[in-house]
Amino acid sequence: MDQSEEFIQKFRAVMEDPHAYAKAWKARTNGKVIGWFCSYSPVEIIYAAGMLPVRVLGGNEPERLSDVYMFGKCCPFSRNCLAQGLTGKYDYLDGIVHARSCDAIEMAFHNWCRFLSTPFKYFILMPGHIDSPRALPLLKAEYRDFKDALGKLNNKAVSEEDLKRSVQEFNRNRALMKQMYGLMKADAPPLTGAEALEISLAGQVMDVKEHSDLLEQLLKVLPERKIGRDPGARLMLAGSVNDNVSFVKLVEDCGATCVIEENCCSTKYYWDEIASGRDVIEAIAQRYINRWPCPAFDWKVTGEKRGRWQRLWSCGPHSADLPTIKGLFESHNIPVLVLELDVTVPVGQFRTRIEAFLETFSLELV
Amino acid sequence: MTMKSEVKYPTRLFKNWQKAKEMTRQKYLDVATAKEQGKILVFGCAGTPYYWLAGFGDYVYWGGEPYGATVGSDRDFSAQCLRAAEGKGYGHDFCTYYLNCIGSMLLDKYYFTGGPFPKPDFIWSERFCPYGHPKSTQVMAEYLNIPHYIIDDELHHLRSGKLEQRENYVIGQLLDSIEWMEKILGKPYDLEKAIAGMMNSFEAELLWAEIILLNRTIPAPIGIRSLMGFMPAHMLYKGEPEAVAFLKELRDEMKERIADGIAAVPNERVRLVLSTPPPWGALSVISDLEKKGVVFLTNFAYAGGTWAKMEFHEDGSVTKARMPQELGWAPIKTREDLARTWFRWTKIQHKFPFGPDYIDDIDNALPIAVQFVKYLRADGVVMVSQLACLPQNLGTRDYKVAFEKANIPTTLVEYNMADPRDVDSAGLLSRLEAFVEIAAESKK
Repeated sequence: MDQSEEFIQKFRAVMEDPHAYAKAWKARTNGKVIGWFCSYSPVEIIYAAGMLPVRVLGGNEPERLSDVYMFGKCCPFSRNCLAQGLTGKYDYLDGIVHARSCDAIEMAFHNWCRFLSTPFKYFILMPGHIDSPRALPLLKAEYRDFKDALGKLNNKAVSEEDLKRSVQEFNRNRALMKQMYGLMKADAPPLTGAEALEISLAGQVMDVKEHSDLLEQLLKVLPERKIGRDPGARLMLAGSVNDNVSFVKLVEDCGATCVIEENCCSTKYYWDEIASGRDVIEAIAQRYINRWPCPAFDWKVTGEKRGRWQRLWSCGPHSADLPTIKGLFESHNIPVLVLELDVTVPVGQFRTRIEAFLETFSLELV
Repeated sequence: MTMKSEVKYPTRLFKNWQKAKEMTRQKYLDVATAKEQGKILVFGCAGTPYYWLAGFGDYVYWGGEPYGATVGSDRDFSAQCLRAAEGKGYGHDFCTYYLNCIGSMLLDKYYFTGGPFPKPDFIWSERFCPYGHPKSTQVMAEYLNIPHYIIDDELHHLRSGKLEQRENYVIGQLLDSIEWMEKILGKPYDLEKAIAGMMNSFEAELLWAEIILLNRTIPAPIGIRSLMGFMPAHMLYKGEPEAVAFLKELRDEMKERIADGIAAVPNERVRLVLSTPPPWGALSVISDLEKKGVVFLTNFAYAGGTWAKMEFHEDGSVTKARMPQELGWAPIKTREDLARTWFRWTKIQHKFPFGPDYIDDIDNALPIAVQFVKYLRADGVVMVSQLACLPQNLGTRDYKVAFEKANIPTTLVEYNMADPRDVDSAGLLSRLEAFVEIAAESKK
């Protein structure tokens, strides 16, 4: 195993059992672990409080538990996240936090609060109207309250210095993640898209410093890595939340490489950094207001939006953006295939559709 | 299934039925002719405080949900609209009310005239849910190339966080949006007219509450099909004196019917409450059940929220709410007073225990919901897993459990209120017939 393989394997091991990682972290540090639902949750504040922010992810396995609490209209990812809690997989959490985004994930959060015994439960009103000048004052106030609540939980106030250190650590991580995805621009990318997504997801459940340290080591050797496969078609995987690595593997097995992802498990999570030189809370709030938006917050009438490729069944906000995005790409002669994801992937059907899609590229080359 | 159809009570048509139909037709014709009439035409969510537009003079507000529901009641036209929207790529899992609107827009066909889809001056709307409203109106604003303003007015302050900062956020947007409209229209804002519009709306909300609460009478003087037929006179005319006058007449007629022992359903034997609006394109399910002695007293969705304001008392009674002056609220002198009064009235004073705003406080909401159903002397509740609208599913399971714990028979059905293709009428009827027998048995 070469060195890059060794580092990639470490990220993979975390994602194979993120709960074991969190429990080990807790035992090692005696710190608190806080679960979070949506990429609008200010993980920087949790980390500044000396706690481990851990994203609640779906299990990508069929389940019926959540049906009792959330009906079929709710998106499968949200239901699956709740199911993970109901099966006791997150029993080690000391707290759960949600920053308002869409109703489906919010329903998962409220059901979590009602039916699970996670001790600390916190809801942040992320302003939906991000283009309003009223958004920043609200979010600053919301974050200050959240910071105070975490300080109370820990019996230790969160200081400006704590916040600055945390912001630095997350900025470092985000810069490293961009550097990693930058390598995907190579003719022969040194990572598969599935590996890149695993590393990205690991960053949402690991101690950010540990993730950055490991990533930094990987990046030293990664440019030299040869993965010995024809990258095939270079695809952008865009749209709703996707934590399903096997879906990316399926796409790539058809003869492609997912060189970039545009969703809240990947670029939307790490892309935007926090500016320095201001009140830290304000800077964090500014980051979340200005970040690459989820369609649930994007109400501007611009006629232009960024890419989409796959969408989650029953994700209304993405559903509204899809025709514009598809049209935009197609107007630049970039072919688009729309796939509708559920908790599990219909392998046979998707493979046929993806292969047919990829064949259209070959025809163009002929 | 055999059901008794014995006539127990007299019935008669509502005197104002044709008037309500005419008011509805006229308002939708006004939408088509607003420009010719020199009126402002504004599109958006029907829950927006659109009566504030009175401050700019004559206006017509075109609510997306009532239009989407009306389209959804016409199987053929709705299918055309939905095909047009879905063909463009908007998902079948999107808000169906607005999918009907988007489809009608893409077809450039207005349901009420068959002519072109009217182009509003701008869209001014509330968020309500990220799934449907702001994203749909964004799509429409982009397509029609018109300005777009969404007020994010949800609070969720009961789980954690402070009300004051969330209130200021909402108030700030409301005030900003008035300035935004001033710039677009180039007109000064007449606060007095806006206040008058808002007070008319508040009064109409109390009258609507009174009308619904009168339905606790046995036999019920009005069934849901008629109630929903009268709803547009309230929903489309909010803030206008015509709505207040009409609802007073309707309330008085309800009292007359009660005095005369007039029933909506002459063989009334089972009284039910529906959680969401009925399937607009399959109202035959409701009328078939009415023939079998079932009266639907109301639905939760239109018994609260923006439409009706009630007070729930410790002795189990429910009454219409009181006007701000009866509550001793300070008079409105500024725009900020206007916004804060609306906020206090809508978001604090009179939250109805059903809907997205209550999801963070459902433990307090459930007993009030039970109280409402009991006060109406309902024999059961039909909860709907609503395929058209995610927020209407929030807490469904909790409500079902709460009603059952209170010995109120409850069932859960699934349909799409605005997509007739997505309603299994025969299956829905069979399921409800079976439930009616359970509810009837439990009365004994």
